[in-house]
Amino acid sequence: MTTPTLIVREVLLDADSALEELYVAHWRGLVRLAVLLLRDQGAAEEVVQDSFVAMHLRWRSLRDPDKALAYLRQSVVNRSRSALRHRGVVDRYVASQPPVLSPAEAADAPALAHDRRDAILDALRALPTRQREVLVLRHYLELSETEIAETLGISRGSVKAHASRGTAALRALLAGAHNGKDL
Amino acid sequence: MDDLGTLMREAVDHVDPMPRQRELWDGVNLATRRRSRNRLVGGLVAAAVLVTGGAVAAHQSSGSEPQPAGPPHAIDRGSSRAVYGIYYAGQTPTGTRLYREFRAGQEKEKTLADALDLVEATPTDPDYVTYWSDGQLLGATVTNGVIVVDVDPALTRPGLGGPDAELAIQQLVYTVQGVVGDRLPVQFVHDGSPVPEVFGVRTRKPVTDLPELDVLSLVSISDPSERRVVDGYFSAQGKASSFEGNVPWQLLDANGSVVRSGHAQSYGYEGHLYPWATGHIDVTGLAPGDYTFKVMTDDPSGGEGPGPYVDTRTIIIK
Repeated sequence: MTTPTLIVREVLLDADSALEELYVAHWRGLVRLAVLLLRDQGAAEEVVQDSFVAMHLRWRSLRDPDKALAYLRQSVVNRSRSALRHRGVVDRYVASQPPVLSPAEAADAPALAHDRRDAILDALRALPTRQREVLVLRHYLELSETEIAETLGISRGSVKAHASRGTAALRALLAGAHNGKDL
Repeated sequence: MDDLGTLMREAVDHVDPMPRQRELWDGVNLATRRRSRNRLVGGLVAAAVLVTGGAVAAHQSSGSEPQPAGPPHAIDRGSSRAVYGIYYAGQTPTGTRLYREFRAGQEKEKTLADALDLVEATPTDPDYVTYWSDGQLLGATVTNGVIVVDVDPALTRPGLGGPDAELAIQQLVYTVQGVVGDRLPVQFVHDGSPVPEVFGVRTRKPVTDLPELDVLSLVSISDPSERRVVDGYFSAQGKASSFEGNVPWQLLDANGSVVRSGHAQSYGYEGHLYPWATGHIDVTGLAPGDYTFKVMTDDPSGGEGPGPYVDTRTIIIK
């Protein structure tokens, strides 16, 4: 018979260290990724926290920090999608947002950087989920088509289609915002 | 760099999330307990089958758990550089031991070469030292389940060494094992051939890690890093083997007066080091300047033993 407790302890050891290191290196970056997908920072932190806990449980099959990071990203994207499905997040978002793209309001807004941030986050939120995910993975994380396809579990053809439609839609939305203010 | 990427980075550059180590470890603790319980039940069932003669079935069921689909390989193209847990030496009540410090490497990808450079570099925490100097570690690779480290032949002369020679070897072993994420044995070589000794320690065969409780300081801080600037709040985490998992901490001002204190909890303390985390420490209302964050092992002997293990970090309150 094997001695399961010893095995469990050994695996836990590695999982703990991996979690600690990945937290130090990637907590902030992954929360930022989730903010691009979700808009809501509190929800983004929750999603990333849950992803880290899930990664710790899966460490036995990951074992490699690179694989663990890929798993974390995949988990953050999937969990962000689920979080968006919960109306609560959407409602909170809608309730907390002034009509940012209103030209009249933007005209005398003091902080240009703030406007630019809101414009891009609003435009991303206005996109269909898959387009948003593909664009964020492509432009923010700079993943290749193959990597995006693997992360999202869709074909490369779909990645291409979502990227091209999403880019067009995002540029149109940003141009709309640009007309209203100096983006 | 494309314009959409730039816009996206700008949009989230200001996002500085709250530290959540404590919540994270609470979540892990809960999930791990749940899983251990399930595994224990599985073990009992397996044992019962064994007793009734179903030995083959019992064997097959031991340790099996559903394997999740492997995640895709993706290259880290984040803006941050790879972070390494590098072991350095420092004083403890039971002599010199190893502490771990998190350091950023040169590359985005984790490499053994980068880690070796950091082992040879001066630690950030002034309480730590390294046994290795520039140019002594020439390279490392993983081959057939062994971490092969190429060393300067000058280190292999017989008669070198000293009281800390074994610890110097362990400093390297712990660090490279951390980088590969596995407790693989370490073979010291030069020009591809095993060297008989390094710092006077026999190395003809691969060296393995000695138990944590014999080599490491029983408490260490992973975060914050030395001279981290803190605004409003911070949280700390690290590893410890402290009586009943109790890890007392203090924040001291420049005069050595305690301005904040508390206890962190690790979810175990026997056999090896376990993670601890403080949760948020509110520092609003404290004057700007240098402070010392100090963690200790609990000392139930009341001073009769060697005394508590201690690790400290300087933090700067804005």
